[in-house]
Amino acid sequence: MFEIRNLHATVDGHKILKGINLKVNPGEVHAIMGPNGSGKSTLSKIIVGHPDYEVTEGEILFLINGKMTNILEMEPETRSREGIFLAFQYPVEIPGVNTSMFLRAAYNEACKHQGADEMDPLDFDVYLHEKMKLLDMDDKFINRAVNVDFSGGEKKRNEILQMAILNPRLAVLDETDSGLDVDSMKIVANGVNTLRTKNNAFVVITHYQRLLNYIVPDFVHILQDGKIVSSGNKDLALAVENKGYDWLK
Amino acid sequence: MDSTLTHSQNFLDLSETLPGFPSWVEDLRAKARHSFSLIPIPSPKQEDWRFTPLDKVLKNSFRLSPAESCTAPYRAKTPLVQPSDINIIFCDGQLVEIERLPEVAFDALQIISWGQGAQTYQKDMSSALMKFDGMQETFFSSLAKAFFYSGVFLQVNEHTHIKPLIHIVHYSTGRIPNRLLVPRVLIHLKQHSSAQIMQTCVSTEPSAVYLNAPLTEIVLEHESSLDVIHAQNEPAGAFHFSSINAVLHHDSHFQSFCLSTGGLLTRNNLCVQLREPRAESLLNGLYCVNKDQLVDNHTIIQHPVEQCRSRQEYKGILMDSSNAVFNGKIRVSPQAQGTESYQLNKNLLLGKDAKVHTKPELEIEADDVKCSHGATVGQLSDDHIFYLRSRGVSKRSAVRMLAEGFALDLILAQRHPDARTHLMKILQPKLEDMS
Repeated sequence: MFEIRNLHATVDGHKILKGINLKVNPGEVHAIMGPNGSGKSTLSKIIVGHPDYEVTEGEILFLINGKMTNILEMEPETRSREGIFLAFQYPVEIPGVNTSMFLRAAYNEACKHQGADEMDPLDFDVYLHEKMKLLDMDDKFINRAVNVDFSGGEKKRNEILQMAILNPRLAVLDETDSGLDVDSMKIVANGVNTLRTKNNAFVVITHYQRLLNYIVPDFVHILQDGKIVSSGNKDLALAVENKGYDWLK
Repeated sequence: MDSTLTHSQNFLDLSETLPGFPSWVEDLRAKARHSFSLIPIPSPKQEDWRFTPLDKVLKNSFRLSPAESCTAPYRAKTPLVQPSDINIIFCDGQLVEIERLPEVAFDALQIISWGQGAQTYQKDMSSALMKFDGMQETFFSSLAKAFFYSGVFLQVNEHTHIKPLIHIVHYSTGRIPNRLLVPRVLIHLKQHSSAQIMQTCVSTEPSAVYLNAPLTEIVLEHESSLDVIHAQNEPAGAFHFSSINAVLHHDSHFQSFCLSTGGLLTRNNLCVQLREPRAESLLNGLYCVNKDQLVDNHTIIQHPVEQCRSRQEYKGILMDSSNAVFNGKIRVSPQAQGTESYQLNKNLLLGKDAKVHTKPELEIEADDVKCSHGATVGQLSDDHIFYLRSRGVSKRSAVRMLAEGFALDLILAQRHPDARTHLMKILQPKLEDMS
């Protein structure tokens, strides 16, 4: 359902990605690990269409209406409406924009795009509260401005809440574990595990193997210097945890 | 009279005979005409008008036409305006209707046309008006005082708290082109009373061209509290020059909010005098303009006595090639010890060619005071826009959401829920109208 082919990308003229290949099928969880500066965050931002990154070669294909389609020319909002989601490593605070209003707007944009009926505020409220329960969140989250005065852990949970609301086919989690204590990590992981189905897929980007005890990956890829240098199962993550990245070079 | 003629030869035709008022009001009008004749037409050579050129105004001729009655069905055509529990309706500058709930007794709240009030409440009205003696006149406040012919007098009695929002709506029909409108509103809150009053200026005709110069005068007796909103969404070709003057007695509280979204050119002059100790004023404003609109807010806060507080926050959203001016004067006299006065002006530039001129003017002659001012001009953060887009919100909607978020706290600070709803109804379509 999702495939990256020979992806090369630059930011401000610097080559960051140097030929990435990755294939993701429905129902799979892929973990991408790698040292600082290896290009993990760049990859996640390119998948959702961040304007700061320039793709110089390759393509990213996503299954849309039964056809693998190159999404690189698509606007970020269109990619989202087609079912691609990124949980940001550093979610921004947006003063003045109410969380629940924003979530409903986002949800309805996707409905409209997919030709479904929009949800009215009352029904949405019920839907929202269902998902909030999943992440052990209370009303104080949604009545505030997006991420404003949220703790680090709350921001990450808010990302997963948005994922739960939008119900994407492909979710990319960019270092969702960073800044989380063990309890929050369990809540987040539990949220992700509950949302796993045979029709959707996850790409989990992380520094540490720890998160992968809770979200168990089917595949683990090691990214170094803009390339995937090794792929394997969850044992690869454990090996990295013990030996570091250098032995893979 | 001669220089009045000079004015009229330029851009104002003031030759029509005005309807008569009781003699004490006629005397005031005559005095005001004299003062008006001494005030030069604003030009960019005057410091107060440096960034607000009036060329587009001056090439028209606006005519005072008091004899024309209003017959147009004004209400149905302006969905922006929500009826309130107490409505005072002006049409083309003339008071045409007062609708009020029977629950609010007339001896608690008096609402009466200026002419009738001048007979029945001469003592109250004339003593309230006298409070403004010596307050600096501007060209447009003076014009209204000299040539007004319709208005309303509102008075809240001692120890009376009016809960419903009082809504004064100024409709313009554009039926007669190039009309000069000078409606006058006098508000008097007696001691220990409170009220919330909203004024809205709108038109039933999007292509109407007119000059609206409403004058609002406010007197707050001791320990009274007034929230006043001045919202204007005039059509694209109209000119709006509002004047609001307020005098505050001890322990009174004044909260104002000025929303400007319409008009080709808008100038709001707000002058507040904290005349006795422990008076407080909170002056907020929001302007949201697009295309080649210009909006100018000039505020003057006078602290002649000790222990008063004033706070101001004006925000602007500027789309396309619109322009804004903010000028905030704070005058603290030598004897006004213990004064607190804060001023903030924040601008969000959404248009590449949008411009803001913001200028604080603090004249502080007392030494034991806390005063500060600040101004910012910025743009939306790309990170914010991208975050919203990554959730499926279009770029346009993201910008609109963020701009609304920028303005929202000021609207939510309005205490009456009807006022908040009404202000959002004016602001939201304006934000949609972004190119």
